[in-house]
Amino acid sequence: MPKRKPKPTPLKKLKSVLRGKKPPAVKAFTIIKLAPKLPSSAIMVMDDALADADPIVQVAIMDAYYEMTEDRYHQQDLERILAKAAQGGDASEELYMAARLALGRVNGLAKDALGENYDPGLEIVAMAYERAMPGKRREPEKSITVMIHGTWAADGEWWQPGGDFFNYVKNKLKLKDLYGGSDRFKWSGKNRDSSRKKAANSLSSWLHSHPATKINVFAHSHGANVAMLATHNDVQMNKLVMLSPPVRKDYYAKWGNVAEAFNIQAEFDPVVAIARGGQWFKHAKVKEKELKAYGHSASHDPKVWKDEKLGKFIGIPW
Amino acid sequence: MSPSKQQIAALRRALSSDNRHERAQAAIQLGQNQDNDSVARLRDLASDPDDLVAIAAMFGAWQLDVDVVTIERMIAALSSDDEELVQESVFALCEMGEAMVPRLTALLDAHTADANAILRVLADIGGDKAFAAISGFKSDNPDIASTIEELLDDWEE
Repeated sequence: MPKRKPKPTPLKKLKSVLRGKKPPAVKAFTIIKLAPKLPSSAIMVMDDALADADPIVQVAIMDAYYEMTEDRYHQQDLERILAKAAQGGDASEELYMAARLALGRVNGLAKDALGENYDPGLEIVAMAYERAMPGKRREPEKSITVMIHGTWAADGEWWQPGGDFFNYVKNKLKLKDLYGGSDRFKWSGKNRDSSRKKAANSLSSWLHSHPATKINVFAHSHGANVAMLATHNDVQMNKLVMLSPPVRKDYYAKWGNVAEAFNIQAEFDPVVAIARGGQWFKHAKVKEKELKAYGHSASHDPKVWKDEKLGKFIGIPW
Repeated sequence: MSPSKQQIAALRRALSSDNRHERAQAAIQLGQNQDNDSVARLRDLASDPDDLVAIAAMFGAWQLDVDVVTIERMIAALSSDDEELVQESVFALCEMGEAMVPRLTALLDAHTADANAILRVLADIGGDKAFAAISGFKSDNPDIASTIEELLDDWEE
């Protein structure tokens, strides 16, 4: 049996995070978690990454710098980011909160403003910052619609802003609350049961940090199974639209936490056939439709949605 | 419930369908239903010019203990722009499991295919042999080194 490699050092983890492709908010949160354990040599590594980093990652780096040195070197940089975030735009609210808190620390506000209040289970930096600022919790939206990708599809275009299906849902189905922020939910896409369970926990945390009175979900393939698993964490879903899920009983939702569910399947889907899943729930809670179209990707094809009037099937307008 | 003779006959006819998805699904289902009389036809389809059909036939035959897997073709599919093809190949390789690890390791060592894709699918297959293959692979390419580090960091039993 091969000897397992020792766990990577905090510095190695930092380098991996800065090089890697995780969403900016996840990178930022990881940097903040690592900061208390980083050696001084990490400062040069972070400096090298600073210029090209996403703004929220820049804030995290500057905050980590202050954590390590108590030097106000980046004060003006934080003020600049704060001013820009105040002008608004995508994900600017979180950036504003993050920059404000980091600036607060640099300006000598409560030293434990961040450290004491972390919940290490969370992956979204905004939540960590919110908890450090009682009373500043984000007000719930009336509703939110979330798109969830399937296996190995985290970098796919169709489910993200600018993608064909994303645009179709937002503009043609007129679901203007379809979330497209830079911290949109994304999971590893790994083809393992444990990864899907982990993703379900992450989804629960993400929804908690993006509160809404009504949660609607469009989820493709095993992304639908991730969504269903999240209902076991007491996530309440209003509409759950499942697109070509491999149907397996071990992934069934806590149906009492789903107001309405839909299952859309292609006539022939070899991917579902291999994935050890059936195509049909045959469950009272789930309204099901077999498409005339074929293939695993048909269920997120805007042309199929238009031709087969799937908006009507799922009861649009909501 | 076992399929009826008529259902098996229908699946065999579907192997000649004009519809590529129908051919692919039939290939998989004939394997799942242990229809040994389909082996010859599945062997042929494993060389189909359409990757979706070929991979389905490789998997179908595999379920009948017939190995017509072309590992290079399955790995090439993992880098396709066609999401459906990527997912078909991932699921097929994972279902074939540890038996694929030596071939994937050899392909990795040959440096002729997409190393990131091979490493990721090894991680999805899991197990000690896959772990050894990933942790034992050395690369000067920082992107690949980062992939290895991330996969080992996230390793779950």
